[in-house]
Amino acid sequence: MRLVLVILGLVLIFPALPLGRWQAFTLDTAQFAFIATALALSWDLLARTGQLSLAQGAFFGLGAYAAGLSAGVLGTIPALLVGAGVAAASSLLLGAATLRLQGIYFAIATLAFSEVVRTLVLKAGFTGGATGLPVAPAFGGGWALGGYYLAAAVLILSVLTSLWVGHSRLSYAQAATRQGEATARVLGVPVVRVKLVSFLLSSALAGLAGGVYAMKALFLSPYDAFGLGRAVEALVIPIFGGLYTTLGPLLGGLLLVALETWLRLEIQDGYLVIYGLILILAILFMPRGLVGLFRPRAKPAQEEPRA
Amino acid sequence: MKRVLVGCLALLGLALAQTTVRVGVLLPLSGVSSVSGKAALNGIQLAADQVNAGGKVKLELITADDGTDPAKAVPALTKLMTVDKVDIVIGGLASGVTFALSGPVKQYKPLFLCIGAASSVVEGAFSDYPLFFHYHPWDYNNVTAAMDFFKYLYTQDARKIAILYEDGPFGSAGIKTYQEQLQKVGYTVQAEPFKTGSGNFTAILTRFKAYKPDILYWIGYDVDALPIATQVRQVALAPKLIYGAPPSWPVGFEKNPLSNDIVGMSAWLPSVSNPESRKFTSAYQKKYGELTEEYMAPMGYTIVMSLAKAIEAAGSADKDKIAEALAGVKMDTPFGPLAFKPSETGKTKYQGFGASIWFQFQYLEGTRRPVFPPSVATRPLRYPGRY
Repeated sequence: MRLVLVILGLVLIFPALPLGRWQAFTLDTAQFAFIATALALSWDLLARTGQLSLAQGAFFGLGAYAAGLSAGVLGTIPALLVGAGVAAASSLLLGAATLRLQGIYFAIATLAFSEVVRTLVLKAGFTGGATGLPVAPAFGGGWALGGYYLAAAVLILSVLTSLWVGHSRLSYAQAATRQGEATARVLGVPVVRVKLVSFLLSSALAGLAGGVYAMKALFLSPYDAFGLGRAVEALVIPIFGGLYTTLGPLLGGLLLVALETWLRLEIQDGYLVIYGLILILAILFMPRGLVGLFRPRAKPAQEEPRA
Repeated sequence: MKRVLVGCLALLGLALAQTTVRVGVLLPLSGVSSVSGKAALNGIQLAADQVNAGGKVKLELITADDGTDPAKAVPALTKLMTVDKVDIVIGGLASGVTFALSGPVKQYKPLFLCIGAASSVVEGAFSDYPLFFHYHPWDYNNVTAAMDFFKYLYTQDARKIAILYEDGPFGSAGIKTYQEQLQKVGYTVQAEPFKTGSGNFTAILTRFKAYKPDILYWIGYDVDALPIATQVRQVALAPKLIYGAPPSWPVGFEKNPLSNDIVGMSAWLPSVSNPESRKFTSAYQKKYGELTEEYMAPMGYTIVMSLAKAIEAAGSADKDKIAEALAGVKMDTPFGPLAFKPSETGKTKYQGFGASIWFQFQYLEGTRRPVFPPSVATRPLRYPGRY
């Protein structure tokens, strides 16, 4: 918890740090790192119920497109809320139809949902289709640090939501659902409702992150916004950092983006090979992720780590 | 002693006369456009070597990978501008990434030499930026070049076209425009989408068989080329021409007899016989030990050679003076003559190449031969082809 607060404090004062000529570059990199981390935290919220979602890229894309389309009319903040709302509403529809599925069946259903949404956006005229959609910058481009603080705000909101869920009664219901749905039902846990609420929170945050991304990237194309790579990144980060925690995805996201950026600058050609090797080694030798290094292995009777 | 002194003075004079410029190169060296990005980088490095050996201009290249991803490209450009302190950037290969760069480019104001980004959406994004030089033709130039060929085929009694297009951005973006333009020429058109890399086209091709097309027009990726060439024969579609429009063709496709008579469009091939192309091809082979068929390699080469010419003319490393000189550059390139003028829509001020650099080639007896327009054709088009 203390480390989480220290990281959030650093996020807030980061633009004021004396980084010299590296400042603009690190601020740009940090914005994309915050967005990726927020997406990972959102994915972890649903993962706590034991559901493996591959639709996080779709919610991210829906949020990005909805915010991108409405930003010109509504302005930055209302457009971002529209993005989050569209993503949340679509998760309700998807969740109502698929959350009774488990394991690989649910994963396949979410993957199919992503493909359907991508194809619809590709074919629809008002989204710019295959040509793509130009998006206005946050606050009309008038505030230099506007994009940075938006990304920071989405990250902080994701962290706070993750902490809140981790310390609420919902976390017990999520853990029970993950450890055995049948048993949880017998214990009186409303399994489908727990999964649906987790899905709703998770998709709204993903949609919000997508909206902030759109206003930073300034251009959306269906393959970029709905790419499977984004969904995979959203699950790799919590696995690297530590599943079902707040600190894990937070630390994992910031470190992985920093590592990838550093490798790209230092090695350039072939940096992805090194990056991939590091990920494989981390998963092999740190099965509980980065947070596992800080904490002793929990005894079976103990609670699982939450923050 | 005297000779050493004279030599030192000569070197000092050369150094004083030499203009040194740091140039940022931002290309996709990873991600989906990395094949074109690496080819472009090879061409850029080859030209920089030649320019530096010439002694009048010294170019220091600082290379960065845009990852074919806005999330990587935007910080990479920021680093080039604020950490590496370059004033000139060569980049902008993929359209989506280039659009994302429009914000930071306008913020940091480099002289931006754009190597690709054919989408006219990008043209709009840079319309108010005075230091934007776009070398590659715009998408509407590409349509014009292809239509000239289809107009010619119409005079050869081709009437029906079946279009097979991949359902991603590459295949779908211009499909409506293509259909309308072909119908305007007088063709009847039937179009069907497919998923690139699926490998199975027999169902669509069998449907096309009832339509009896004169031309099978395929817009997709290199992985689709061989399955289409094979399955056209399997279903006995027997079009008079197969026309392909992938961003790059499969390596070694020309060695496969199934490629014979297939037609496509390119801006450059090693067999293009103008003197600049020959010079480039031989220098490329000497430096890298192999030939390239990627036209982004001579495009990168052309950009650096024109930049060096402009720096020499400006006699200064000042980006505004270089831009002014570049606007007046006229030179021969592997693609033909280069001179900047406003784009056809008038949205951007400095457009390098237009529809005229495109030509149609045909796979003939194990190699690609320019066949249209007649001004560049080295062999007559074989029409109808045998498939």
